[in-house]
Amino acid sequence: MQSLYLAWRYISFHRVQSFLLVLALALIVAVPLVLNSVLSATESQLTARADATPMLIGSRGSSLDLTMSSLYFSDDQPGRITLASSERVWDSGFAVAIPLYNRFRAQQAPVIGTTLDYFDFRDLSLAEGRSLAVLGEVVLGARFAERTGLGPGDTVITSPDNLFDLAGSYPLRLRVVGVLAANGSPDDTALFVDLKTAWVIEGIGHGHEDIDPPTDSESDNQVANAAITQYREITEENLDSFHFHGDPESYPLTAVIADPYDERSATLLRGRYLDSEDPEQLVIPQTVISSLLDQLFAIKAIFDGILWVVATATLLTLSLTVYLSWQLRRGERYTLYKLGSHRLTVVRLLATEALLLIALSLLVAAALHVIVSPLASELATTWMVSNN
Amino acid sequence: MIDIDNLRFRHSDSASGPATFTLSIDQLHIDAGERLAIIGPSGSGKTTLLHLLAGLYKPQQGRIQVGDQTVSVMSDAQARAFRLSQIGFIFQDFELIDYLNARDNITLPYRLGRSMRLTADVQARANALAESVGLKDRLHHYPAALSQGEKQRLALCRALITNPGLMLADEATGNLDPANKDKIMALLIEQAKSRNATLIAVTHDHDLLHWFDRVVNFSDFRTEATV
Repeated sequence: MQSLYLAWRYISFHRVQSFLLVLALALIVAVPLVLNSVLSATESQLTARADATPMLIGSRGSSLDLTMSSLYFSDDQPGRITLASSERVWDSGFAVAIPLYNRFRAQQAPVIGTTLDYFDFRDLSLAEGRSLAVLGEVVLGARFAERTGLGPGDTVITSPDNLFDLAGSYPLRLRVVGVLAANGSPDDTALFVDLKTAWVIEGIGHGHEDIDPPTDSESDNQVANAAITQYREITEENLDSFHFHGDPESYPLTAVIADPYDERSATLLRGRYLDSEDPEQLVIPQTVISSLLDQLFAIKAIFDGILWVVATATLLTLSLTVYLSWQLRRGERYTLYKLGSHRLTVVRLLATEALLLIALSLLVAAALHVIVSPLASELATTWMVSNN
Repeated sequence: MIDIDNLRFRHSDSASGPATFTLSIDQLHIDAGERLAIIGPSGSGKTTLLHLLAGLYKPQQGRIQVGDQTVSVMSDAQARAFRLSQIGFIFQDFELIDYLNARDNITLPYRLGRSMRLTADVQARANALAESVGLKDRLHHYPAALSQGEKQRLALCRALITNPGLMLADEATGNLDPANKDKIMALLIEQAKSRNATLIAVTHDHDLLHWFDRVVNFSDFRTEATV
């Protein structure tokens, strides 16, 4: 106990030096721990989502872009397919087809156009309000709702494609009718609209709204002035005026989730997309994510190696610090011996100091691990999704 | 009572190779409660004698008797226990522990040995000692915040906390200004008298010799330095 007391007095007296030592040791321990946790959490998050999505059909091209856009709603823009692709899956009789259109954003969150089948497929339930029913309605993911403070009865406006592209899609004010219960997936951060609403944002479907009557009585010109609203809105009054042009089968999608009825259906469906001339491809998200994780772990192995070198260098520096401290305290050691202390008592005192510092470092490392890992895991997943 | 008989001590300075130092004392008797000053030129073995008395060194020959204990034949463990309980050491450069406050420095001997218990009585004695040397209000201060005189008074309290029968002062006033020298010496003598402790003080300062019952000049002993 006396050694502990004296060791504590030494550490608290030299608090700046002790703090730096504790921090250095804590970082040596915490960095690999946090890194492992982050990778493990990222792996499980990515894998869980991929495992829960049997097949994806999209435009031929990067399977990673297609997977990231469809599963994690990343900014990646895979090539477009059409509603006909969804019909193709239905017509095959091998799987349920769930179309997805991930192109628009609202308050930095993805606006996903889909059908109600998606909610059943992902097992999403409502925490508030009701599901989509009418054109112009939106259901919010739990974290988006929490971040923005929006709920049923509020509205949210989609972001314009490009502020300077007057011909681009025009923002649409969406009515919030429901908020999903959190499920710890990318669905929590997204907004969901019916496919038709997404196509309205796209400009394929539109209504006709009156603008100001002629202001010049001698002319028939309509004057589009500042009184024009800066977004469109689908209301009970103008709902009936909304209509779509063109062949519905040509309306755009970014992907179709195919949920095969059974193993045989899955195999047969895969066979339909083997032709390399086919403009569409079928990907297995599990395979894509597994390949991505393999790369990630290869990078981790390199990082681990670097970390070992840095940790060794840091430990050597710390050893030098301890040795120099030992030398500097030679006088103190001899004083204690002259007063009647056993030489081992002095060694025990120094060992206790070292153990205290190590214990404090482990505590700090554990605290860092507990605090940083969840945040870092989330950041890492977000980063991976937005950078792949 | 201290008796030194036929003492021969050869000290090898390992740092500088084969150089050796030899101290020879045929006979020296010091009465219990006596206040003895040791003077002599540098290198004459004054500090070495204090270390021999404290059991820090073992003589190659001869006998050192302190009270009923023969220091010269003590094991390391016995010598340590002897130092902790029987000896109060005061050093020229105070040798206080910089990370302990004044109170902890005073009670330090009770934190070094398993046989010593730091009880409330000891804490009370530390308070009383600090008060007697004018450090009552400085107990929470660290050595760096104390003046030279205060540091030596603190070192005196540490030496006295175990109520030692033998006080060894090695140039205890060497780092003090003239005003503080007399004050510390007066305190040292007063505390030794009040405890009837034997005081052996090494000094170079002949102005302080009037405080002592007897003065031993180490020039009278045979010391040799050979290379």
